[in-house]
Amino acid sequence: METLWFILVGVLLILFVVLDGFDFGVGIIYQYVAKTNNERRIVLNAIGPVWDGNEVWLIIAGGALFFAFPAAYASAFSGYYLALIMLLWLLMFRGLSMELRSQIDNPLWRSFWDAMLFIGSLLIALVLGAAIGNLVRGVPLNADGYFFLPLWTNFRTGGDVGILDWFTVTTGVFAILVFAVHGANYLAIKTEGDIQKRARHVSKLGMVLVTVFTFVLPIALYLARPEMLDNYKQFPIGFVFPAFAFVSLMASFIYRQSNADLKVFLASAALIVFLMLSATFTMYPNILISTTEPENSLTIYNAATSEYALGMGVKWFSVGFTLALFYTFHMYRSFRGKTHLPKGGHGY
Amino acid sequence: MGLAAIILIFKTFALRTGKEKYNNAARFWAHIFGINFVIGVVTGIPMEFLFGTNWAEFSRRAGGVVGNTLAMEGLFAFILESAFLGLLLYGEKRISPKAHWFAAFMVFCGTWLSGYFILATNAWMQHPVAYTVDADGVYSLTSLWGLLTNPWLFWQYLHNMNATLITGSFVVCSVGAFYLLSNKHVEMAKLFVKTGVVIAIIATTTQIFPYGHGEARQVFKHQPVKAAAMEGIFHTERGAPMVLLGQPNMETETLDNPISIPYMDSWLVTFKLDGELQGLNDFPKDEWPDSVPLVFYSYHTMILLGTFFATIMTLAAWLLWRGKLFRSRWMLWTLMLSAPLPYIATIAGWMTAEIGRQPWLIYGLMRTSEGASPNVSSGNVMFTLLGFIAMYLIMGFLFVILILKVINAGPDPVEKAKVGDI
Repeated sequence: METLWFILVGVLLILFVVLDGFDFGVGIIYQYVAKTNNERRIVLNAIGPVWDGNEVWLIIAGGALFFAFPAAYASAFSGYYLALIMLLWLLMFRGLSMELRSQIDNPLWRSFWDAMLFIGSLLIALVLGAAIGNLVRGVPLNADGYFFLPLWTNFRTGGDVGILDWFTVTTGVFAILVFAVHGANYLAIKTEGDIQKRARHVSKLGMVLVTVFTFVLPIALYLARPEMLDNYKQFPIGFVFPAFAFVSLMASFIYRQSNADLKVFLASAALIVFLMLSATFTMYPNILISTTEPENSLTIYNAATSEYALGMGVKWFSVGFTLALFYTFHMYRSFRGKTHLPKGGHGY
Repeated sequence: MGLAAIILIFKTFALRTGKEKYNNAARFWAHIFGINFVIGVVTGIPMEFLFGTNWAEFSRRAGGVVGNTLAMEGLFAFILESAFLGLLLYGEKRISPKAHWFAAFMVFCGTWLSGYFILATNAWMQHPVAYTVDADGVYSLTSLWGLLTNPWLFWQYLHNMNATLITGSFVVCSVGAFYLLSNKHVEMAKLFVKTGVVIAIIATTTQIFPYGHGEARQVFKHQPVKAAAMEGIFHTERGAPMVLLGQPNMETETLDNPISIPYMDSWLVTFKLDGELQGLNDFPKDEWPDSVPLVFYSYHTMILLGTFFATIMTLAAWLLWRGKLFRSRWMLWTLMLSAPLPYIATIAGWMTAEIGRQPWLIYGLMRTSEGASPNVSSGNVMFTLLGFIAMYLIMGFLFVILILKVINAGPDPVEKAKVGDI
């Protein structure tokens, strides 16, 4: 039952990263792919109706972690205190930037929110990437199951670590690149003409950089903390995840040649899924890995709530999850097709 | 939440009568709802995470219970709202009128379900049920059904959701009154005032009885020390009066300058004129709310405002029935200026509930001081608190500007199209 909930929380997180990932990506490349006000409005109308729904998956994932593994939720969120609160501020400002930009017709007002969208999206991607880096690297948990990390110390991965060190910054930059490509792929589907051309260009360029990082990352992982690869040594079957990630990356190169935009997008979504699975695989059955004493680690067993609640949870979760997937599907279906400037009525 | 219900009412009328004015009204309020929603979403996202960041010990020990309702809120309510709000705001031209009504209905369901799960969480903290506790003080759930049907929840849900209807209807009234007084958008203004008054007369009177009365009685029953602080009862007495105004004097433990109705409190709570009500002196001081005067003032602010709402809306409804309301300038002025008051009453009500619950985080089980994150230093907390204050001030400022702009632009469809076309 604990393993099932580990998987469910993982699935929710992956859904969030895949879905909100492309609108973070769009935010990162927004000012480059869309130059004029009308182009920017088209881009915003492509993500506007869906970003909030995408972000709800973060809330659901957070809720599921809170409910299923309260000790891990409490420890992680208070331990990464500053990074998390700053992430929340960024999420707040980024949400405002998309929704408030269209409310006042003034070039300064609009430039301000354009800049906020870019900065917000870029930093969120960095923080999310660094967060995954942190989970893989581990944190100095004490015997009570708590830790506290400053934002940074000396950027080394050993000893007195901070949230940002050279390894987690690397994963953060990697996340920026992956999201940018993912966002460009989404825009290539949803737009036409100049925007589409520029989005495809970003996608192509970004994929080359992503490929470089794909080779750098395992080496960085090994240099930072070789024991992070223990699960792979013990269960070599796990290598299917990075292997599939690589296949997805190759597939996106191939489909990009013929500009089969939908397929490229699905390939970058698959890439994110398998990258997340590769990272998660290094952790199981830990949720928070202790870098001080291994027995301080919070695992799915010592952090879980009661058996009754987990069992009951599976029941309401399956109903709710099905409904939520259905709404999400319905929402994307309602806004399918190329995005145009809205005529009259509301729009971004 | 109140506005979601009112939008649904407009959409229902539009579908039934086929008159375009109801659609215009719904569109105008949906635009305002959209701005509210954005601010609500971006301030709501942090809430779930702040349990973990700042109340880690509470989360660790009680997450197995309150995590249920919070996760359910996301999965059942939040996603419903966000998926259908996009359709409500941007999809009117893409879907049929029935489908658009359905979007309004789903947004309504989403917001009211969301309220249900959040209140279920709060109800458990006010009146814990369906749990066991182990040797380490970790709470686990024994019955999900028990958590969702917490007896505390019944009155709390009705009282709170009705308060949102009051706020919504007062705002709708206020905007209508503003247009009537400035002689703009007259037809729409009359619709707003009429709809607002009809909803408000029902909501404001039922808010006092039975909802408010029911909620207060359950506080007397389950949280007598909070009730004593609310009413300013320092010493246990029979035939307690209902105090309308007064100042709790914590040195002498008496009420200064009380203006009160004799026997009223005892009668309201026990239905007997000489019924006994427990005073603060029956409880150890370390179980008193941290600030008795603040609980007393919040509660009385709510009560006095609530009485004012019911009075003013009874008069307005009478004027409406006699066909004089739209010409009665003093009443329109009153309605226009009253819009902020339900917000104050709601906040005062929540302050009563939450400050009155102190020193408990989970009533009778866990103190607030035990719930904070042990690993986060106060310097870090102050940094983030200052940051949140700054963020909220900026957002409050932007919110007011944008809402005033929408109200100023007015509900006319021609002008509306211009705003959207920028």
